Formats: sequence, C-alpha cells, structure tokens
Amino acid sequence: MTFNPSDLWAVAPEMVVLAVALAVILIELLATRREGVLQGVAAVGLLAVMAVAVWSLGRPTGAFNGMVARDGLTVFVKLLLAGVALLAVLMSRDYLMGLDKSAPTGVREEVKGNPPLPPPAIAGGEAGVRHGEYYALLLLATCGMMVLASATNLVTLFLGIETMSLALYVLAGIRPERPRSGEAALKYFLLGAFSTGFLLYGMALIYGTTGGQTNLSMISKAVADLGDGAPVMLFAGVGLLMVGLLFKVAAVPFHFWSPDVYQGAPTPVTAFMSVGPKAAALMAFIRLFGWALPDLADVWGPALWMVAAATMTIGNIVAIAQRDIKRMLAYSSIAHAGYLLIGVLAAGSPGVRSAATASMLFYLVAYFLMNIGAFTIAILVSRARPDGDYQIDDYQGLGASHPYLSAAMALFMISLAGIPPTAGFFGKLYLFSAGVNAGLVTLVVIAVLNSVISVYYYLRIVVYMLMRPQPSPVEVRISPAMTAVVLVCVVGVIKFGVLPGSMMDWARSGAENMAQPTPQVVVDVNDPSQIRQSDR
Amino acid sequence: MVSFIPVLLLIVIVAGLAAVMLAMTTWLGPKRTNPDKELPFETGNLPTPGGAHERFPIHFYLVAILFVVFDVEIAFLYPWAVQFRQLGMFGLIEMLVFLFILMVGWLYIIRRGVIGWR
Amino acid sequence: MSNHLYLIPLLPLAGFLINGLLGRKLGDKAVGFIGSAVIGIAFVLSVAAFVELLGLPVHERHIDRTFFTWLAAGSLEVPFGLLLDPLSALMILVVSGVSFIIHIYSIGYMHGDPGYPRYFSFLNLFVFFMLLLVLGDNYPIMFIGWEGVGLCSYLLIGFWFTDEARATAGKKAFIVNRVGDFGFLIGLFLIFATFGTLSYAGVSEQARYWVGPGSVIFWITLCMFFGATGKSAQIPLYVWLPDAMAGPTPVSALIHAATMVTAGVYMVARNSFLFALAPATLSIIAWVGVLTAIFAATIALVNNDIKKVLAYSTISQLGYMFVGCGVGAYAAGITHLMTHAFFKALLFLGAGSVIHAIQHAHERAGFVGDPQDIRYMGGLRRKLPTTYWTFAVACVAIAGIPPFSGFFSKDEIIWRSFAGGHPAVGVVAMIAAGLTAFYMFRLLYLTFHGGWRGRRDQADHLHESPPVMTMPLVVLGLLSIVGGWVAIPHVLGGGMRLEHFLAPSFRIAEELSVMHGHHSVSAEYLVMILSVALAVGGILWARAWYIRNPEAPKRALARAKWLYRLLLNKYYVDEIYDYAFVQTTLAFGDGAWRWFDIPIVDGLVNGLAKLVGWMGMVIRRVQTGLVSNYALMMAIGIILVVGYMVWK
Repeated sequence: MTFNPSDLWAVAPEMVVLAVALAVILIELLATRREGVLQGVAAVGLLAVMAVAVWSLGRPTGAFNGMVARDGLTVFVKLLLAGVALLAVLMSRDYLMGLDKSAPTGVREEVKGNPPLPPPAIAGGEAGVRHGEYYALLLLATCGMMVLASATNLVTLFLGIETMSLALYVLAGIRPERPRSGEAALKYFLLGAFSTGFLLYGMALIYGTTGGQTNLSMISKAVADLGDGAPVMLFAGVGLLMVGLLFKVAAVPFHFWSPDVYQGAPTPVTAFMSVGPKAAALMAFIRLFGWALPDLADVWGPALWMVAAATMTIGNIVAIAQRDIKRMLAYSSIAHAGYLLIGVLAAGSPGVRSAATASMLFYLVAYFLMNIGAFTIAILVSRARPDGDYQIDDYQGLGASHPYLSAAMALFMISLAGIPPTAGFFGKLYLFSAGVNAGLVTLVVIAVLNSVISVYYYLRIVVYMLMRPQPSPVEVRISPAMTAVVLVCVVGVIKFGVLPGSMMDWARSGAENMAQPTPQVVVDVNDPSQIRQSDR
Repeated sequence: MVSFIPVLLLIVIVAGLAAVMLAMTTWLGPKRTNPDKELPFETGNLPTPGGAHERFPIHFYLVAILFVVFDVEIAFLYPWAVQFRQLGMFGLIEMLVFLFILMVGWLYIIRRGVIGWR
Repeated sequence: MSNHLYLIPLLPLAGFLINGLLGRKLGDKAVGFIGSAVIGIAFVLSVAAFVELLGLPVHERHIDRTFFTWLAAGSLEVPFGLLLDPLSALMILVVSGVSFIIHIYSIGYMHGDPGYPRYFSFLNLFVFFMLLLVLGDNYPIMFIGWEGVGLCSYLLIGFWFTDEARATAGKKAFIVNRVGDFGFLIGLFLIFATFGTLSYAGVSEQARYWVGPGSVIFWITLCMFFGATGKSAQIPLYVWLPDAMAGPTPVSALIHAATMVTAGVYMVARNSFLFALAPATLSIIAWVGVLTAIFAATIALVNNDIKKVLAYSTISQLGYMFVGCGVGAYAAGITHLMTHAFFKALLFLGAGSVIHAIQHAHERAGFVGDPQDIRYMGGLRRKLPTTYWTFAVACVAIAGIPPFSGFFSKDEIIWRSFAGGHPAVGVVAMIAAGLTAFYMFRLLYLTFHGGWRGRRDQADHLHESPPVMTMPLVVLGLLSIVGGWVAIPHVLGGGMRLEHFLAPSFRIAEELSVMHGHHSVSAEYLVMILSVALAVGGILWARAWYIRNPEAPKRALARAKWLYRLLLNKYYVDEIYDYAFVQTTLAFGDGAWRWFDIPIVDGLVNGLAKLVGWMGMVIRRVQTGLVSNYALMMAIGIILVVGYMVWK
C-alpha cells in the first residue's frame, strides 16, 4: 500500500473547503471590521471549490486504496453541495447582521424563577453570533458532506457523517441568546448521537458477517459469495445502517428531530440543512444500497418501501396543519425526502440503476433551488416584522406591496408542488418515471397522491399573497446578496422547468460515470502472514 | 458462536477486575474525609448549586473537553512516531498539516479567552 | 443565418423580458425603442435567412436544425428544433415585418398610456410565440406557440381591463379559442397514437406512404381544422373576433388581422401532407371557408363600427385563404395570407389613425362618445390626407382591382376553385368578392368623403396623426400595391414566382393530391374578367349609394327592413350561441351543482380534506417537543425496521 499523489485529486475539493474554513477562522482572529471580508472569503472559496471539483473530473477511479471514489457522480454532488453552501453563505450575512442589531449586549431572555445569569463565559463581551465561527462551521459541514457523498468505505462514510453532523449540531445552536436555538441543538445532538450508535453498530455487524470488509465493493462481493447462506446478523447490520442514514435524511419515523431543529436553528442554517445533508446522505444511500447491496434488495427493499411511503404521507399531511412557515417547510422537506427514497429503491433494481441515480441528482438540483429560494424569502419576510416571526399569516397581501418578491415565492411554491413549467415538475417526472420503470407502481401512485395533497399547503401561501388583503403594511428590504440568491433560484427553477435537457444530460453522465473502487491490498486480520514484521 | 467465547471471557475479566479494584480500595484504603474532598470536582467548582434543574456555568466542562481533544492528539502522535521512518517525507508533511489545523483551533481558543479563568 | 435561427424568436423574448421586468424603470421612450428594435433585428435576420434559402438549390431548401432535446419522457422525445423552408421563411418575413411596422406605429398610438411598458412587453411576447409557431419543426412547439399567441391575444384584448366590457371580450376570445384548441389537442393525440412521432418530418414521411385506413386521417385532419376555425375565426367559432376589437387598434391590426388569426391557415398549409390524404376534410374546409367568406361579408355590409367592419372583413378574407387550402391551392392561400397581412394591417392602422384623431377631438371638445361610429364621421379626406390615401389604396387592394396586390391572390384562389372541381365554391367566392368591394368602399366613402357629420366644434380639432404613425401607413400602402406582383399568373405574363418558391413545402401534398383539375387559359381569363367586373360593380354601387344619392340606401333599407335587422344583428348568432351553449351549460351546471355537487362531490371532497386536516392535527400531537419521546419513537421505529428485516 503506497501513497499515490494523484489520489489527492479525489479529495481536492474537500481540501480546499478545509483550507477556506481555516482561513476564515484566522481572518476572524486577525482582522477588524471583518463581516464582509469573511463572507467574501467564504463565497470566493466555495467558487474555488467548485472550480477544483470540475477540474478533478476524470476517468472514474478510486483513491486511497478504495476509501473514496473519484468519478462523475462525486463531482456532480460536490458541485451541488458547494452550491448549497455558497447560497447559504450569501444569505447568511444579512441574517447575522440583523441579529447583531436586534440583540443588544448582555440582554438575555429571563427565565422565570431563576436568578439573573452571570455574563456568558465565552462570549468575550459580545452578543450575537461570531461570523467567522459560523462560516467555518458551515464550511466544515460541507467538507463532511463531500466526504460522505464520495465515501466507498464504511470508515470514510462514518467519518463524513460525523464531520458533517458535529458541525451542524453547533450551527443549530449558534444563537446563544435564543433558548429555542439551544434546544434545537441539544435535541439534534442527543438524537443524532443515538442514531450514530446504531449506524456504528450496523457497520460492526456488517464488518463481522462479511469477513472483515469495510470497502463497499468487497462487501458486495462478500454478500454475493454468501448467497442464501447470509447470516441474520448481516440483515440486522444492514437494517441498523439504514436506520442511521434514514435519520440523516429525516425519514419517518426518524424525523422527529427535524421540525424542532429546523424551527429553532438560524434560518440560513435551516435552508442549508434541508438540502445539504439530505443530498450527501442520499448519495451514501445510493452507493451503499443501490450499488453495493442490490443482492439484498428483497431484504431492505420492503422496509425502505414502507419508510418511503410513510415519510411522504406523514410529511405532507402534517405540513397542512402548520402555521409557521419554517415548520411547514420542514415537513415539506420530510415529504421530499420520501419522494427521493423512491430513487434509492429504483436504484436497487439493476436495469434502471443509472436512470434512477440521474433522476435523483436532477431532483436534488431542483429541490436545492426551490427550497433555498423559499427559505431566503422567508428570511426576508420575517425580518420585515418587528418580532422576526415566521407566521404564514405574514404573507397575506404581500402580492400587492411586493409583486416581484411574491412572484418569486409563488414560483418556488409552484415548483415545490411539482406543477409545470418548473424544475420541480421535471424532477418529479423523471423520478417517478424511474420508479415506474423499476416496477414501483404502487409507491409512485402514493407519491402522486401525496403531491396532490401538497398542492394544498403550497398554494395556500400563493393564495395568501395574492388574494388576501394586507393586515398591516410591511416593508421588505432586500440586499444585493439576497437578490442574487433569489435570482439564481428563480432562474434555475425556470431554466430547468422549461429546458431540463442539459441538466438531465449532466446528471445522466454523472450517474453513468461511476467508480466502484476496490482496495489493491486487503489486510486479513486473521492471517498473521499479512501483518508486516514492523507492525508487531 | 464459538469464536466469540474469548470476547465473552474478556468481558468477564474486565468487569471482574474493575469490581475487585473498587472493592479493594473501599475496604483497604484509609478514609480521612473533609467537605472539600467530598465534592465531585476537586477544583472547588460547584457544578450544580441547587438541584439538577438549575442552570450553571459550563466553563469547567469546556476546559475538560479541550483537554480530551489534545489528549487524543497525543494518542495519535505516538503511532506516527513509531512508524516515522516508514512514512517518510509524506508522513512528516501529513503530520504538519494535522498539527497546523489543530494549531489554528488552539489559537482560536486562546483568542476567545477560553483558557483564561475568570 | 440558419445556424442561428433560434435568434429570430429569441430576440422578441428578450424584448419581452427587458420591457416586462424593467419597463417602469426604463421610461416610455426606451421601452418603445427596445420593443421595436428587437423586432427590427428579428426582421433583418429573417431577411437574411430568406436570402440564404433563396441561394440554395430548390430541392435543398429545407433546413431543419435541432438545438437541444427539450424533453424526453419514455417514448416521447421532443427536440427543440426549428425548420426553415419556403413556407416558414415567408411566414417569418411577414410576421416580423408587419410586427415591426406595427411596433413603430404603436409608439405613437399608445403614447401616454399608463400601461405603455406592459403593452410593449405583451406585444413582444406575442411576436415570440408567433415566430415559434411558424418556425417549430414539430407539433409540440407549434402547440406552445399556438397557446402562447392565444394567451397574448387574451391579455391584449383585455389590455384596458378596467373596462368591464373589454375584459369580457378578452374572456370570450379565450374561451372560444379553448374550444378550438381542444380539437387541435385531440388531433395531436391522434397523430401521436397513429404515427408514434410528433415531428413534421416523421409524420410527413409516413403520410407519404400511408396505406392505413383513411378514416384515421379524416378524423385527425377534421380535429385539426376545428382547432383552426377557433384561431382563424371561421364558422362556427368566428364569434370572438369582432368582440376582440376591444383591444388597442394596433393589436387588432397585428394579432387579429395580420398574423395570429392566420395561424390556422398556416397550420393547414403546414400539414398539407395530411390534409391531402383526406379529400373529405378538404371539401369541408373549402365550403366552410367560402360560407364564412360570404356570411361575414353580408354582416359587414351594414355594420357601422369602423373596426367591426374590418373585423368581419378579416373573417371573410380568412375564409378565402381556407378556400385556397381546401381546393388544394395551398400556395394561393398563403399568398393571400401575405397580401392580406399588408392591406388589412394598413386598414386597421388607418382606422386607428382615424379613431386617434376623433378621440383627440372628442377630448378637446369635452365630448364623450363612440369614436368608432362611421355614421358620425365623414369628410376626413381633407383633415387626414395621408391616412385617406393609404386607406384608399388598401380598399382598392382588398376589392381586388388589378394591379393591386389583392387581385392576384384572391383571383388565383377563385380560379383554382373552378379549376379544382369546385365551381359552386368559386361562384360563391366571386359573389363575396363583389360584396367585399361594396362594403369596403362604403366604409371609405362614409369615413372620408362627404361632409363632417359629427359635432361642429369637434371638426376644428381633427388633425393628421404624427409621422411615427403615418410612415407605417405609407410603407404598408406601398406593400399593398406591389405585394401581389410576385404572384402574377402565367396568363398575364407573370411567373407565379411565389408559388414556385413555395412549391417545395407542398411537394408531398402535390404528389398525394387526388385532384387534377383541367387548365384552360380562356376559362382563366373569363374568371378574371368576371371577378374584376363584380368588384368594379360593387365599387360603383357603393359610389352610387353613398356619394351620389345618399337617400338611396335609406329607401332600400325601408323596403327590406327584416333583412337589414337580420344583418345588423349578425344573424343573431351570438344570441343563439348564448342560448344553446352558455345558458344550457349554466343551467346544467346549476342543476348538477344543486343535486350532485353539493351533497356528493362536496361532501366527499370536504370530507377528505377534513380527514386529512384532522389526521394532520392528530399526528402533530406526536411531535411533543420532548426529546425523550422522540428517542422512544425512534427506538420503536428501529425495532420495527430491523425486526422486519431480521425476522422476515
């Protein structure tokens, strides 16, 4: 096992993200008047990450002895993740600056019956969020997602999941003055730790039952060799692994954390969390279940089928009852995760594997654009209110006072509901037709029925904006960065809604250009002759 | 299943050893207590002034957590030092990168005043 | 140019986006300039494409470019492809050219209107969809253009939407068009089901060697023609067009005279390879066309609204174009489409100039009245000389007097109906031509000749329109004269150059055509002389009644009062439709609502909605906010999932 310098290309985007994160921390330490600089460095850094990701594209291959893949799929997802992070960075500064103004130094919410608290131990005399810390954590989470999306080994998979999750736990609770933020972080952390335990346990069982394999291709081979004689422990391991990943995509019944966390976390973080971890975890799903374990599809398939159906149904039905737009979008994102699981299931049947993967990629791009756009407008509207709340009632009559903003919001809602001519429509079209081709007709029917239900709560926002009188005038101010974010999303949603061909072609070539690296040297721990003398 | 018997044995031995050690210190050790020694943390820091439902400063835990981070770093340095020759130049650069990343975190901690006790 | 064909529709789209998004900020001057400039450039590009096509050998004049795959789902793949052949080349020339002139005219006509940017952005959007319609190389693209122009027409008819009647007119146009579109859509489904493709190339290749049952083609073509009657205002779906005159006059000129309403004709001509396989449909088309022609002409005889007369005249002339297609003379139909675009746009713009002047005079005199009623006009010849002369040119052209453009195109259609074995159609068309000459000159004489019949104090405020409006009139006037010279028939020593140019587009239809008329030079002369004589007769009749002896019409009307009433009320078709369709539908809807919807459907739907909402509330309770409960739920979920997988 030797080190091959070209392997570094496989993790080049991760290395750049990491470098940018360190740079952001150092700038916060050394520079003054740094909010704009921090945002600029983070944004430019992410653009550089995208450039490097494109540059790193090459013949599909593995790196680091089969630990990560370097292929079209990885590059596509890394570009997507960098894009998510970029838009989140762009919308963050305004949000954070707004917090700095609205939270005066030292004033905190009093908790009844408790003595006044001593000044915060590490606040350094400042209230609000430290921008550098915030951007650095965002970038580190992105780095973890990239590792997760390119992992072809259980160890790298775990590494990616944990890097991503730890950063997100802190991000969810980064607003010290808001108890709800801390609550969100704690819930996320506790339940996340709980699920990580299962994930690891599942990995251990797989490792044990496949004869000490952690590489996905080797696991695939081992499972094929076992054939019908696969031990029950293997199934349990696959099940636990699935549970751990399902927690990250917030699928029912492992979704309980997500509405509370989405509501409590700072909104740009929520927007980021609703897309990034889902995309990364679904890619891990595809690699693990679609490509490494299709032989066990009749074991994990029915369970995942039930989870997918429950996820989209419960997500949509509960979304109807929400009055808070962030919670509504949280349940909506649960429902979208349910749709996306159709892609994972379809990828389990070998004939449509590439098509299903491609349709998932397209759906993720569409979902990314429309969801980030909706969250951005939610931030803008909430900031126009004195109390910064996120009630759906706030959208009443917005169409009259802010026609462009409302038109953009209406577009995102229509796209989320999957009505043409928007990206959301083609996303659903491709995803559902992949599902039908894989024989998942019943599930697709459930999904279509669910999209009909979802129209109700998405269009409610549109109806509120256009057909209700405005209770009190609001003045929504939009900064250039926010405008840019909304514009990118609007253009994308329309572009891929009218002309989906080019993006689908990229997604398809990404899905077809996929590596399944195997390690060149397999160390058998049970065979002493393979352990070198010096290792003793 | 037979292959797991050593594991079972290990579990029994570990549990038994721990139990024996605890029992022996309880029985054999001299007990000269005072109120300070009864505190959970000998720094004199009172974590929970009232019941468990009170809010309390978390400074001490932060320092403890930071200690764990650097402890693990040291634990990582040992095997690297053992394999230093075989890893060669690449290993050196790799470790320098690792230390640099930790150093940035360490600088950040100092700058934010976490180490300084107030 | 053909490599960048997409630029031609893309430029108006860019204009739409710029004017639509930034219109208010740019100011009216910039909006007018941008709106016109994009169309102007598109016109120049169209000329370039046309010239490029002319430079190719005849059999290579068919450039089909696919720019990207627009959507692919299952066996259906729709490329975004544009087709440049003689037919579409002529159409883009006419569309972009006339549009450009009318955009310029609009700068003056819409001056000071509060909706100025909205107007130009809609107009640009319309041109985009129209160009897409004529350039697309497959049915879905044509359908998008087809729906898009309908949408723009609706938006522009109801442009002054604060006026209830105008908004209603817009709605009527939209609904009647939807009825037609439904037929078109069924036709498209049938085509896909029959041929398994939706590209012109694929369908025409299969149609060429068609051995299947003729009835399928009959139904396809009939459905498509039904769609065409909606868009091109033919019997039975013509009723929306007169009401559509509620829109701004340049809109009437562009959309409801020169371009959009000819989309149906274009569609039939484009699908000549299908229609040629269905002689029954062709006969229906010929008869519907000629009946519409004479029917609308008779209504136009007595109407007193300057724009409504022109609207019925448009319906009538569209009828001629369908006659041309119906008798297999597609090139003649398209030629008439082109010449009609020139002189009818001119007539509408002239009418707009008149209305503009009278409206202005009304405002100055503090008078509120209908500026479009020709009974209160007269003698405008001296006040609006440029408008008068150009309007007169257009009247001569539409009446079919040689050597003006209308003569060559209309005469060719009439002659081809005789030669193609439809003598009855030809005779009716000839009579309609005589009526056309009469009502057009009635309009001309009542508007421009004689003395001013409005209020005296208004007469002093009547002024000719600004040059930005009269220059387009002059340009269109010239085109109305010379426009037909590319179609001079052989018997008059011409070369039928346009027909030869268009021939490759109708090659397959010619091969398949079962109609082989006999050609006799003397008969052609006879038809020509007869139709010119009828036109001259119509003009002289109008002159006798409205210039020489103004009492004559009144006496005549007194004698045939019932006929006058029937014509004035447009044969009561609107009322019949209202009674037969609208009222019965409403009554049916009401009954269904009372006896079916409320108890059953509403109950079901509301019940389902309530159930879903209730479930939402219940499931929401599970979301307690307590982290230990969540952990418990997760644990149960894990046990279920893993338990299932292990014990299965």
